[in-house]
Amino acid sequence: MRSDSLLAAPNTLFRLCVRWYALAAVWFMLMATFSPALFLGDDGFDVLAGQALTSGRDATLLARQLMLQIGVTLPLVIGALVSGAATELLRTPMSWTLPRVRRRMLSGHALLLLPLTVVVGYGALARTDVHTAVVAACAATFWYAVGVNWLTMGHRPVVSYPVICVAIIALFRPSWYAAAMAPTVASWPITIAVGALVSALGLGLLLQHTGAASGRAAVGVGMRTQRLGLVGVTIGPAFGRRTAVFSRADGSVRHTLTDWVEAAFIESSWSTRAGLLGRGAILTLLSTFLYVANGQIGILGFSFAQHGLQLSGQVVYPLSRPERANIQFLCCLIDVVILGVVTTAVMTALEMLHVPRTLMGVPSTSVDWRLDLMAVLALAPIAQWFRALGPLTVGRAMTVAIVPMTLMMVGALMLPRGLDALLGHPGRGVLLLILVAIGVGMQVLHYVALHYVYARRDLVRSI
Amino acid sequence: MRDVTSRDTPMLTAESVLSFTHVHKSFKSTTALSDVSLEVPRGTIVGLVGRNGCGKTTLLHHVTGLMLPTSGTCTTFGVSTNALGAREHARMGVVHQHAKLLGWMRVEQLLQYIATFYESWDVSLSQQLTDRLQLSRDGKVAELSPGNVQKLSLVLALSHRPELLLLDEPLSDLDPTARQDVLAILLEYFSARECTIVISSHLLHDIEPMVNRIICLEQGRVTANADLDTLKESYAEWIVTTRGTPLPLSWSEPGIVRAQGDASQARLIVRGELATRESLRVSMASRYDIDIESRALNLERLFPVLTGDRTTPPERAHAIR
Repeated sequence: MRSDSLLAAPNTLFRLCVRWYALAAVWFMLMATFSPALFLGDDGFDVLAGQALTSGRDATLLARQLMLQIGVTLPLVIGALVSGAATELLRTPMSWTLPRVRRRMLSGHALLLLPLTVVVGYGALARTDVHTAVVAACAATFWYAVGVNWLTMGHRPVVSYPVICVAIIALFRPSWYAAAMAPTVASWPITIAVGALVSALGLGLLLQHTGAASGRAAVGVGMRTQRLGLVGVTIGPAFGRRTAVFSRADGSVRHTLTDWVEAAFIESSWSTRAGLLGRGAILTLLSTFLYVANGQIGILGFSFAQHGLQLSGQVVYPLSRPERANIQFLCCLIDVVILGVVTTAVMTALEMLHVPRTLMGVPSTSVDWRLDLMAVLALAPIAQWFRALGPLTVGRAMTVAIVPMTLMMVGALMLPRGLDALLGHPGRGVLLLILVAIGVGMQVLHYVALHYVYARRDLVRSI
Repeated sequence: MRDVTSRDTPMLTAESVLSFTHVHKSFKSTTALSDVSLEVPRGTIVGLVGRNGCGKTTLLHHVTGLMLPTSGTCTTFGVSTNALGAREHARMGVVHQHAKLLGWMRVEQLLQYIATFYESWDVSLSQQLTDRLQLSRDGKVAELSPGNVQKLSLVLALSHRPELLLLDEPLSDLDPTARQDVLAILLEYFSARECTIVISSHLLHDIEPMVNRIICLEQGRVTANADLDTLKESYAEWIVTTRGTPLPLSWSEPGIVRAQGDASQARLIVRGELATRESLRVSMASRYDIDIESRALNLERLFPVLTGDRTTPPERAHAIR
């Protein structure tokens, strides 16, 4: 029976969002953000206090910062995940024929946001003080709204760029963020909390309305949106106006493997690569400040795997199947090299600047990033494997990538530590050598597997 | 009489550009192609017709080697499609249905980019085709209308002068004028090069003057594979009008494959050679109190016969009434 009641309204949103890969992503985020409290209990905060003592920083301040980071990052990520699903609907012209679709989705947002805010606020209250709790709860409300509108905000750089700047400050310098918000919140905590909730929902309604209007005009998600989006798809080329890039000066025809890898570079578009490098560097930086370095390097790996260098499949290529397999293998290998170079450069720079690193929000020096990175590079073909399915839509890529990505991340986390324990602490050099050998083995396996699959599978999906 | 819709295994000839032998293709529980056996001789224009989801696109993907058969063999230019190399691919021109192309490039850039794929790329031909089809070379591919994307796909498929053209719904987004332009270009290309063209389309009226052979698919099976003229000669449409007595509810005479109408007038589609049909006509005219006017069938009228039940049961005729 059809129902237009508000009681049925949340289904509109939840039916879109309840997908196993989105839930898995939220689960990982919850684990990462609440790990000191969830995994370590009170000990987690003892560890925090211990680290604060050894690093000479105030434990209370570190706890407040951690809670604020949770109040920013968790709602932001959950909002962005919801945004991805909701935009699918709002972008389609069909949404304009559905009755009260935006109102239905808004009530779904409210029902999602309230427990989220309560969890963040209560967590902060339990570990810190009431002011921090209110600030964290307000931050959660606001950043959830930002996350929800991530995909649609790209149409308005005037809005999106300042918001991103504030998000970066909140992530990297939560003390500044707290200092700016605390006095106001201390004066009118309830008013501010209600105001944040209302303004966040209002902002959500407004932006989703206009975002859907863009979709109605058959524009879809614009280029800038994609550039800013967490899950950007295709971005225009930096050399878009230079036609000479696409032709060959000597008029020659593409024959060799190198020629076709060059074609893949062109089709992946140079600015995508540049954007990827920047995004990779930012993720690496975040990893050092927020969570497990290894996990974030894994996300970076996912980013490469998803947007990786490859022929787009949108034109007809005069290529045999073995040639396609060779090109795919070489493209994956180049991506692994780029990942290694970018991460090494960022981490080396951080080391030179003596930037403190964190593990699960707790300052730590126990993780050797070289081993973690090498493990990620060695196991990268696992995450890259689904590229053999051809260029995928973001949704499809997330669906098929979650299992190999999880395998790779867990494997990369365990491999150096497992080897270290198994071999009785043989030293970093030996471990690196073993990881290199594993990496070479994986590449050989990847090459053989690609040729096997390309000889047998369909190169287009059924319709 | 030779059954023009015969699905027997064809004898492969040296002149076959592509051939399928007992090809079966399934996707999990869905059967896309079932025991398809056919060959396309060099220098023919084949119309690949059938209802939505009958397997036309899947069949074309098998020709290009993008899909591989679950069982059976298919060859293009005598080479098994899983072993097609750059040389064979360069001899093919393909227009995919709903092609997306590289949207961020400009038309000129895309043409120049694709030109680097082929030794035989003819710059003057691509220029001539874009001019004739009134395609702006400065526009971004993503900003082209669906019709213009189809035109561009055709330019990309023709400009390296392929011997085999595979066109999957190349006319579906074009306006009537553009459709005629495209068909004229294809005919000129065919006349100049004696190539082979396989064109899949639902616009039967448009492709009918162009094709000389029809392959019809229904639920993954080939239901007709014959010369178009032979096919059309094998069927006729009879307009049956009563002189007084109501027409029968059903027509059980052999050769009547489809019936529509009411008690005063009926349209019958009759299969058989001319002499056979003539004797049936005489026999029916004497049996019932009716006038029969015979008309030739065009492809569009023939389509339901080729794709539906070829022997319409009397119940259906009754239901139609």
